[in-house]
Amino acid sequence: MLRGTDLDLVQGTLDILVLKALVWGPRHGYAVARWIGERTDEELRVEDGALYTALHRIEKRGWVRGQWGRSENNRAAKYYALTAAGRKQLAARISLWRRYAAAVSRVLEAV
Amino acid sequence: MIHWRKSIDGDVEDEIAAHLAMVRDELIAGGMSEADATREAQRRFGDIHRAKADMVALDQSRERREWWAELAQDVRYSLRLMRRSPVFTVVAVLTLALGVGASGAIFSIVRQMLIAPLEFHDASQLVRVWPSDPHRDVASGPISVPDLDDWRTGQQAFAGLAGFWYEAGQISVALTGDGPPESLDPAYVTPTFFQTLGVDAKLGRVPRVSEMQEGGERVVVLNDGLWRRRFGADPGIVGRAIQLNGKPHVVVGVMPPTMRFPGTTHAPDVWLSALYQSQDETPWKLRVVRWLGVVGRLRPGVRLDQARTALTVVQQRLATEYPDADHGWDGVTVRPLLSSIVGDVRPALLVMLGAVGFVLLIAVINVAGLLLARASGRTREFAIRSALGGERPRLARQVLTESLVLALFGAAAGLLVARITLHGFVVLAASELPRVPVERLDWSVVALALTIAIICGLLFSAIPAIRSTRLIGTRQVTVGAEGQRLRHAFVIAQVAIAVVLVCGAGLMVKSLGLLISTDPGFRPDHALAVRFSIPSYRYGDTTGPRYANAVFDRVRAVPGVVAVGSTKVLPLDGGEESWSFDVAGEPPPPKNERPVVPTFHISADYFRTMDIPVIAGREFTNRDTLGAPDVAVVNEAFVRKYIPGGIDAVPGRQLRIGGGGVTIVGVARDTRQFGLDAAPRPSLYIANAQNMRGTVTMVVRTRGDPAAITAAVREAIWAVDKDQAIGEVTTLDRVVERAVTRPRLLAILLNLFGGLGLLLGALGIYGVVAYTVRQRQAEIGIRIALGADARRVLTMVMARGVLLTGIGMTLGLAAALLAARGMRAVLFEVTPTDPLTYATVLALLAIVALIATYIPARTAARADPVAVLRAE
Repeated sequence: MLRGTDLDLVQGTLDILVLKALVWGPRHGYAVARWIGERTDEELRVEDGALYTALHRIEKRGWVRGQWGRSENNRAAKYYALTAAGRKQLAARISLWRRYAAAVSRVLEAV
Repeated sequence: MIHWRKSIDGDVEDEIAAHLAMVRDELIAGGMSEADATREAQRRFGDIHRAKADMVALDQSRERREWWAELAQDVRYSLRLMRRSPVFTVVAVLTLALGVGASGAIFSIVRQMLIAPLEFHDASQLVRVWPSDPHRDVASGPISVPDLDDWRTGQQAFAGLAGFWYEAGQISVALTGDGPPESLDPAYVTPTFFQTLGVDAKLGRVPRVSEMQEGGERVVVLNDGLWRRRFGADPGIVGRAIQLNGKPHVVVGVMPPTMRFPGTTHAPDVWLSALYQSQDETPWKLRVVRWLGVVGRLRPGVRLDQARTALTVVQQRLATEYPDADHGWDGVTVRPLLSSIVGDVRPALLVMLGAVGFVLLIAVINVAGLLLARASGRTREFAIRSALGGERPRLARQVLTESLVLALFGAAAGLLVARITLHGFVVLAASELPRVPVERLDWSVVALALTIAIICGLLFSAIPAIRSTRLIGTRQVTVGAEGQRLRHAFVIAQVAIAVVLVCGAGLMVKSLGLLISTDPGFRPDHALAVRFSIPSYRYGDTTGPRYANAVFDRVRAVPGVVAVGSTKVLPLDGGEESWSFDVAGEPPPPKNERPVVPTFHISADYFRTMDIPVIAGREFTNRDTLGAPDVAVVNEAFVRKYIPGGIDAVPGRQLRIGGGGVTIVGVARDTRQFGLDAAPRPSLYIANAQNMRGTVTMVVRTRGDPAAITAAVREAIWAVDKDQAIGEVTTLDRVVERAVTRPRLLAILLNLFGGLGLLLGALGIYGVVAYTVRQRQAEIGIRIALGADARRVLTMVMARGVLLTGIGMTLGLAAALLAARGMRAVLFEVTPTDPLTYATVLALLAIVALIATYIPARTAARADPVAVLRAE
């Protein structure tokens, strides 16, 4: 299991994961954490604290917008929604990530 | 903004708590015990404190940025709004600018004159001190050199006491060499003068006490103006000797331009040691000769009353010890130096400050009225924005920003107006201000303008904000009655303030008119006044009068000259000598309670030249010389007060003056010697030929334009003595003019402010009536369509304007009567409740108000009903 405490890993990657988690609609922080956990089969475990910090960081950048709402079991929770800027950012980062990953793979798979 | 940290903190805490609870719930549902679940949730979260701190910091910086972004957005929106209604914007900004500008400029002057400390070291410790003689009603008399020495050594309350002798234009020294001879205005000061004041030279230094003693090398301090004018601002002047009254004086220093003391509106040209005062001019060292003013520096911590008590003890001892000189002088008057310098312009400045305060008030109300009208027109905009999800606080903030932006523009433009006003004022009033004005707006004025802008912004935004949010809150769409009431209140206030301002101006104009039409007691037209000094170092008691006569004769021969005479002090020019006397043949008054009267040294032909009627006896002739019987002329006031039996009892009467008898040979009509607004005082005229005074103002009565023969008169004087220094040459008209400069200036300014108030008030009435007409256009259209008489419509529409004006004028009248009390000190022969002035002002205002009401009303009455109804 890869631990997300290594900030070098988290900094760029976590933001893109969080943005991706919000593509289908507003979620609260816990839902984002669960979604990431499920998608990576718990392979990529991020500390919840780091996740929330990431959420607030990208909110500051204007990529998501937080608003208090009610959770499924009627608990007050802060929901985050992607903004237009966030959507654009996600697209840009995904393409960047793909080129980066492909480049790294090419190097590693070279004979 | 204030609850920022708290709300962000709580927000983050709630968010974390909610997260932990959700994790825990799920773990418990998975079968974990509650305690284990709580622990596990916290473990998965990691360092809660650090995460929380990071989140709070991020949120704070985000909110800050959003706040600024919203502000920028609001400002942009406000600017767009201002551009979209340029007439509204220009009127509002200009109105505010005039209010802020006028009050800023006057405030700056008042602060500089009345509040700012004098330009001396620790100036708050400086006081003027006078001996007083309560028995003869002299509150502030001059002091003698020996008395001042005893004052200095006899008490501990003062760190310094210095004397000075300065009478602008009345004493002079002749500057010769370095160009044409010139007559200078000197201040004679005692050795510790500069140290007591705590003033430094701007070039060179102030003289040392040892340099100001008798007998040594003479030193002089120049004023900045003389140094520039006469010596081309040459820094090498220090250490050089200049010729004053024929003797070399070494220049030790040049004073900065702010140093005017003991002068007020002008600085002396030179400061000289009082100890140089030559024996033959004044017996200056005698205790009976009172000729010095006193400035003192209090020791730190000593209060004014303590200082007075300390000096009173000394003065009362002197009164007992030296009855010949000091009997009766048993009191002391102490006054802060600042108040003694600015005291006589204070009432005028405060009246002006009051007037600009009202101008500012009326301007603010005017703009508030404009904004109110606009807010009513924006009801739809607010309703739409509110419907589209605009939050009420956000809308209120938008309105606040709009008002602040408008007010700040007003303030900025106001600072510009203030600068211009200040410049204009200083140009107009420079010669009347007792301290050197600075033409720069200081931080306090900028702060004042900003404060006004912010208060206005808050006030202005409160009006539409309250209205709009209330409208939105109750979903009300019609115009509320409260807006109407507020608008009416504004008009009433505007009219009332306009009444106050115009009444103030009216009173001042009437006062000035009375002052100008006051008969000065002499004929001011067609007369030249030439000041010069017959130097005692060249002419003695017998040669002096002979020299003066030679000069007069030469001037008489100038073509166009009708008559020539001279006096030591011209009427309206300030300054006098006081002589004590008693009337021979009357019971002598108790010793040292002999009456004292102002005394003037005049030449033969003086009264004829001035056109002052001699109503009994004769005036002085060339036969009244040294050696001939001593003679005097008195004025009517003198006869009324001192000669029992009146004018018929005058012939042959003698006065006892000094040692001898002086015969009264004539009675002259009273003149306004001491100011147009000052009642004539009993006065004595003495023949200059019998009692020589070097200071001479020669009056030349001319057939034609007096100024045209100025050059010829100068030449005539120099034909007798080419080294004669000539002082100011002016006309008697100018002398009278100068006497009304200050009230004239005040009248001009109050009229400007009054005119501004009238204009703004009229705009206010016009605005309301026009607005009402717009609101009621449909109703009026229907009335006209149904055949209502145009005159009826006119009356109906005007009725409201007239009613509001009436209420405003009534309130304004009451306020004006109260406010005018503050003007008592600047009014001449006009009571602050002068009925005629008030009646005139009210009539004028009624006419202006009627016109302002009539114009929009007529538009309404003439409206084409079809067009009006179609527009609806």
